Amino acid sequence: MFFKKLLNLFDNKYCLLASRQGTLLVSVVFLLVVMFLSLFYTQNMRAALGIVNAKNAEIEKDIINNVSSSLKNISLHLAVLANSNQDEDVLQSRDVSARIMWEQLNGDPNIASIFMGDKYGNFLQARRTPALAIREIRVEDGKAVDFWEFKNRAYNTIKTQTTVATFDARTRVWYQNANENGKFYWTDPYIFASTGAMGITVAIPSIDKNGEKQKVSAADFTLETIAKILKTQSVAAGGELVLFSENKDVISASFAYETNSSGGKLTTVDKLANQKVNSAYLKIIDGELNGEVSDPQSKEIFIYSTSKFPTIFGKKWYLTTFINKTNATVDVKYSLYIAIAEIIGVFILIASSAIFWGFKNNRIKKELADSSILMKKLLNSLPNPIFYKDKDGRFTGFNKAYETAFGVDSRGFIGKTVMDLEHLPPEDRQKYNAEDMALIQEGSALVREQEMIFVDAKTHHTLYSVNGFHDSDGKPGGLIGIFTDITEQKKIMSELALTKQTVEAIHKQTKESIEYASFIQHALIPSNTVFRRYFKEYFAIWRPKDIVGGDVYFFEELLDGEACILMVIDCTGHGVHGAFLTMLIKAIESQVVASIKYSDEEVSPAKILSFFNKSLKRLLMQDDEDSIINAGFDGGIVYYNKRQKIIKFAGARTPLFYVENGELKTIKGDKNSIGYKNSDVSYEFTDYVIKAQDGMCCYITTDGYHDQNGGAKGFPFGKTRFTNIIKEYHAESFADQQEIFLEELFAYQGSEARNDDITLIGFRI
Amino acid sequence: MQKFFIEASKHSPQIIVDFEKSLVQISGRSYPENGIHFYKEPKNMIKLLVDSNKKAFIKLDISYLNSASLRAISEIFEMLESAKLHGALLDIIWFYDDDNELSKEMGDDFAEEFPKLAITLTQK
Repeated sequence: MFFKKLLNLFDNKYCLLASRQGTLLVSVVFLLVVMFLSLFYTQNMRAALGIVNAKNAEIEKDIINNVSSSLKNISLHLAVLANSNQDEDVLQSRDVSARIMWEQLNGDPNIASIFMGDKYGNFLQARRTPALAIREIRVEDGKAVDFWEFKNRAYNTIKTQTTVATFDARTRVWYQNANENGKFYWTDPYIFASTGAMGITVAIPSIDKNGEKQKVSAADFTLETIAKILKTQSVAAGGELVLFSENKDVISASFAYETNSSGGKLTTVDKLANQKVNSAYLKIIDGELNGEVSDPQSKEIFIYSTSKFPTIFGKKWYLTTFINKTNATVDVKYSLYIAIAEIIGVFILIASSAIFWGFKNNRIKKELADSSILMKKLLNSLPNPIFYKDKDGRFTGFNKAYETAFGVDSRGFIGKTVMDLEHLPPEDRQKYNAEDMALIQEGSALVREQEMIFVDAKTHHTLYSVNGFHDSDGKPGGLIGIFTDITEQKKIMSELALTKQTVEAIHKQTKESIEYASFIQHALIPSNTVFRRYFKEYFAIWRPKDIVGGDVYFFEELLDGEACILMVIDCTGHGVHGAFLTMLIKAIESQVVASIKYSDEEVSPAKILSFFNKSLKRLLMQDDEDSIINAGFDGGIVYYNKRQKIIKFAGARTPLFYVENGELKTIKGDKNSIGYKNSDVSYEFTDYVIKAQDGMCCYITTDGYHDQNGGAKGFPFGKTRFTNIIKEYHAESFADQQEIFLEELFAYQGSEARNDDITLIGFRI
Repeated sequence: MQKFFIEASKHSPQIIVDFEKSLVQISGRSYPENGIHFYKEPKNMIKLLVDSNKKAFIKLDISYLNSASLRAISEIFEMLESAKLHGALLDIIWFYDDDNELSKEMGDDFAEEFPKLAITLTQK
């Protein structure tokens, strides 16, 4: 299941490995891995060699130290010996010399023997093999006697041996070659015949003033120690060590080898059973101190490393270590395996993250592609013609609406500039280009109304908006142009403007008409100067709600200035229909006044009200069931007779307020309105009579004042508030009172609209 | 018809005539431009309701009436009175606010003018 999924991963068309980039990446990674591995391998090889070299150097030092200290000692010893026995005859003071030799021999295990030989053939030696002994060869009377004294450690002779001497020191290489006075001579390493061990003989001559060699003092110095060192080190190194000289002699080796002991010669390198050394020798002499050599027999490959000895023995010595490559590389191989595993691990990690990243990348690409599709769909579904350009002003796209509106195939324009758009006039193209480039640079936008000819050959009013933008780096990115067809809107707007004009004209006309009508209504209202003749003080507030209104008041003089009548009338409604009624009322009122003037009857406000009632009902045909109108009025009539000092009052739903001796009084009036369809035509109103005292204040108002909405709750002003003002301010001048009444009302009204017409009249007797 | 409804406006009250609940409710301010016209249909609706022989609850909460509205309400009361005479069961409440003299006054006036309707005045 998982495996299948894994396979799917690779089959998936979004998989990184399927792509060119993916393959490239994988190859690069692989190459890097291979490079690393080989480097690693080489490094390890070098490291192995390095270790061997270091070991070699150690061993060399060891050997040199060993050898040089012994050599130093021997030199000293010989010098002592030479000095101690100044005689030409070696055997002169033989015992002393022997003792000295004995001490020296036992003092240094590297000395195999120490001896002297003179020109006569005499020879004295202290030696180890076959046992500790002093050996003397005496030449007397032409006969040489070889006398051996075997000693124990305490220098006691335990055995002697006398033979005819066959040995003549003067024939020896060491004797013969020690020719420079005072200078040491050392031989090449050779196998000691007596012991079979390898060693060197160091000799120093004593030459007289005539240049004649008198004697030679010498010591045999074994190189067994070297062999021991080599053997030990070979174990440690896990390989074989060979010490050889530049003339092919094998001085020592860590492995066993056959020596050419006849003649005391060492084996030469090429005679070594160990063939690899043979092969390596030539290379080493040539200068290739380190390298690889294969054993011709076993075919095994060996790494070898050589140290060149300083020329301490007059000859060049080489110490070479041989390590079987397979052994050398064992550790290397192990760490190599680990390294490989690590590399594979890292590779898997890189590969999987590359796959994942590639996956993600492809998903992002897909999302981008999807959002691109969405964007394209969006643009094409918008009804506005849209075009967009890159930073160089070249078109990168148009939407469907653009193609439809201008009747063009946008594919032909991609990559072109506006200069190439033939469906636009040439001078316009120039203008657009300049404009667009500026906008792109600044990343700014402009909007304007523009007339464009669309494919339908009609001129369309459009809102043309071009927007330059900067990309995410802040550099000019491109430009987007959008047309919005506002032809319809423009049409509607102009129609609207026209309608508005018309309406305003009509309204103006109507208003002017009403305003003119208000002049007519104003004409009904008495001028206030007439009040003056009867009352000490007065005010009359008359404020129609809408230029003209349903409230009206009349003031008529009677009996040659003896009496007067004040009528305050609140007709049904307000505005124009209210005003119409007031005209009617005025007509009736004229009649009433005429009849009063020509009558002897006492004036009765109640009767006047009745008269109004009957007249109105008749006039408006409200008795007829079919009549739709229901009109009338509320109001009050005040009759004041100056001479009689009386006030007569009758009210239809309208009270009279008066202040007498500082006390507020109210005459409520009747609860019957005037006119109105269903009211009693023969209703009889009541007259109320009061004495008209000097200083008495009277107030009469229509409901417009105290029913005005306002205050916190928007409720009517109320009669209580109204009467409170009277109570508080009746003593003030009526001019002031007018102000106060108005102020109080407006303050209360606040932001409320005016409900009704206002009529408020006050006077002081 | 289940419910007759007129939404309140700046100058005119809200009117509900609920046939299911047998309820009439008039609330707000009443000073429409054409009072006669405004109350014509409501009056018919109310008549329809009270003629249905169910007990009708009539709640009036009007803070301001202009003269035309006053007339119209009077006419409605007249119509109710006549309906009551013909056996309609009516429960009429006039709500007034203590801060509104006019509403109390109007309530009193109506109660006085139409005693047969037994209009109850209730403070809000």
